Amino acid sequence: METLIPDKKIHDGKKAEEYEFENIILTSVDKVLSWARYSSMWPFTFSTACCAIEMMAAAGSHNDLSRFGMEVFRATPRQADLMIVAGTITYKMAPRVRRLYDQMPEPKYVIAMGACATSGGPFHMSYGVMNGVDKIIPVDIYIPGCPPKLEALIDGILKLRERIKEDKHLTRKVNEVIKSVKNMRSK
Amino acid sequence: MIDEIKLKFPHDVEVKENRDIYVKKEKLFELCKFLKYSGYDHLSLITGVDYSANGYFEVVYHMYSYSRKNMLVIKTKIETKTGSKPGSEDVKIKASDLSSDVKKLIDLCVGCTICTKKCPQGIDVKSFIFDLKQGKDVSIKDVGRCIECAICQEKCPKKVEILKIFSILKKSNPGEKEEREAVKDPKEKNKPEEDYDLTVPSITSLYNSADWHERETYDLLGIKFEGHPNLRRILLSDTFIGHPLRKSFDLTKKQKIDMTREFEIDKNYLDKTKKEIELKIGTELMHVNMGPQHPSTHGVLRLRLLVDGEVVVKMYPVLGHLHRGIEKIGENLRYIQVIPYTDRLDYITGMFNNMAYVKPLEDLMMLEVTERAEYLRIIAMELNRITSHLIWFCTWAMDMGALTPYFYAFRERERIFEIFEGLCGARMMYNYIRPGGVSGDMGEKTELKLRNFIEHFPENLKEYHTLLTENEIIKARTVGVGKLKAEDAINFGVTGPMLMASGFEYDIRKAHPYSLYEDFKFSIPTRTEGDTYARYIVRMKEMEESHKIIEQAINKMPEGKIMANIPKMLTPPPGDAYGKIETSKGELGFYIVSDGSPNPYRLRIRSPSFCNLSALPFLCEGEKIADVVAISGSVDITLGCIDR
Repeated sequence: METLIPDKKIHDGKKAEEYEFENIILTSVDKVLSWARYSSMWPFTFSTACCAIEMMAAAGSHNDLSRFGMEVFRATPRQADLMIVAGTITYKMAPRVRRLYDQMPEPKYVIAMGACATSGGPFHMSYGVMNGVDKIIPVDIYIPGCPPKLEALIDGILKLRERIKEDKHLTRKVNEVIKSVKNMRSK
Repeated sequence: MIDEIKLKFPHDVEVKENRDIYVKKEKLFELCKFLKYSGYDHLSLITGVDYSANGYFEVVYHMYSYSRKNMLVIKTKIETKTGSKPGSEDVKIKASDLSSDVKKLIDLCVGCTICTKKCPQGIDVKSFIFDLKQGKDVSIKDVGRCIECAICQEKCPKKVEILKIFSILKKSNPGEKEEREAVKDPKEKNKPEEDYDLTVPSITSLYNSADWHERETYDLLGIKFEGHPNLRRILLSDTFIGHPLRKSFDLTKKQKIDMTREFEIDKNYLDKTKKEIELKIGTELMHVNMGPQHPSTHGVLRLRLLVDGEVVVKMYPVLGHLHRGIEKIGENLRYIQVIPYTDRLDYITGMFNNMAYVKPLEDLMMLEVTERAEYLRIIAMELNRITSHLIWFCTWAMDMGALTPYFYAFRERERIFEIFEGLCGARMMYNYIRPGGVSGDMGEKTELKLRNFIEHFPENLKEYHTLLTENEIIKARTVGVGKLKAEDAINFGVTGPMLMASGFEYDIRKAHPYSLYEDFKFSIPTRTEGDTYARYIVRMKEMEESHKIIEQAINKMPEGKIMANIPKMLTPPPGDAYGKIETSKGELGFYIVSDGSPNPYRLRIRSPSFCNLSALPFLCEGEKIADVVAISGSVDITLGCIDR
């Protein structure tokens, strides 16, 4: 491959080597998979504080979340792919949050709902509060507000759906395998 | 009553302002026993106040008598030892104790003050060394700030080895040594600070409710209760260093988190009790862990259960997964700035929290409240009682597998939220009730919405009854489950609908009317069974009563101002006040200590959920494991209020 294409920049700014991992066959499969993923996300009812009530209200009768295929709130992390961190995370709770996140199957997404989960919020000066859940787990979407209105939560979820739409999870996974095999061979 | 106490304890009791009873700590237990048998059966709260600057800590007990309708405040002073903390203590070095090699080094100094001028830490090096040379005693406090940059040593014209002197002095100083070792070994520092001898006799043998209050006081203030069966931290993690509500606590100090930690309860303690019970009943027990991530614990409560087959033998609630330290944050804010934090305590009853905080503040400052504001407060609070009970109703049903009530309850909740948005612009965090009045008036549109709600709510309530009240599954799971007798309820400090369901008719709105509740006609719903089903019925009836109150209030509401003339900066006179109100969960109280400054000196929140939850092990032990869900749901807890 390296010999066929000379080492120069192509129109979209990518180098020739980067195309090596653009798996052409898997792209369509990825599209189907991400379509399935974003249209039926199963959130994990992880609620600690005030934001949880707004999360409940979002799933309730006025602002029906099931319009977006999300009504199946799971109580166990093993059946969920979206973790909505709704509320303050204290130092005592932090190890549990990490453990719950680790138990979720891939691919998984995290929404930090409200000021506390984003940055500690009004309790940032407290002795027992973790200033933002992103210190222990990776976060995809931050929703501001204390607590955010449920419209804001729904908006955040829609933003996440757009993100998942563009996600090429399978391609990424295959590429990781190819890379690791190559590394092993070179060694 | 105060006269009786004076007669009984003539030498050990001192009464101030006809309210506060100061008792010597040796006689505390006897006094409490005397009070308990003379009708003071409800221990409202135990708290501690740190006056370590004046050389003492104070433990405050609020005791209430249901029969006399009277509250007593009992205070005990605990003198701290004369020497304060070893770390901050100013240790003196005597010139006569110096060794010969130090004396040699010091002798070179001529007192030119170059070292003092050059020191980046601002340590007065010259006076330190020169005074030692002249035979004076000096304090080692400054030397601790030295960062060993060696600038002073380089600039010194006489080449005095200053760093060497400092290191020798530090080693020879025993106080400094101890502190350094403690920092190295975090386990050593984890132990409560031994510098204060803070012990009070425990009264857990008299009042069951004292158990958790004493543990909390120990956790946050480090006051030890002698004779307490299980004195461990309750809100904070076992690995936490220090006691945060002490005035000397350093908020900037970072705490370590052990990400692999599993047991918050001492594992040895668990195994020991497990073995004891196994020996008694002859079978092996199993540990079952509920929470902190469990849909029926309503937040982040953790229950560790010891189970014999299906039956719960022992239960240990583990709290504090949402402990946000609101009491400490409040101490560093102005009085008015604390109100938004109270909203976040029990996040589904924000109006009550505002009111409970404002009430003792108004008592302390003798503020007047306009009449229209009082009516608006009552409307807001009663609407909030309905939303709180609706949340309880739907989540409790959901715990037992009934999903439909959830959609019905949230329909009405949204309607009430629209009214709240009209009043104060917020759905959940209201910040509505302020000292002297309320923050917003009720407009025409909001009033229309409210009238519309009042009109339709009885029909909706009927719908709820058709869903659950005669439902066979609900009845089979709740009737006769989790029984609580009235005397047990009082002993555990249980208040609110749980107490009413046990057949005890008590409501603070009737017994000690606040706001303008004495002008309204309503009744206290009671049931005699004391089981889970009775608690459900009482709460449904309470919603009806709230509806009645709102209806009366909206028809009687006068025109006028919504805010009285109050000073911009609130500075209550020195003193303390305890204000309590009846929320949807029970007695919510705020104990405010003022020292005359614009910040509260001490803020203590008596949360109803905290006390009601302390009865949960008593209710669940002996029941089936599936009933734990129904019972813990019927207690109606909010973790924000329990952990604060």
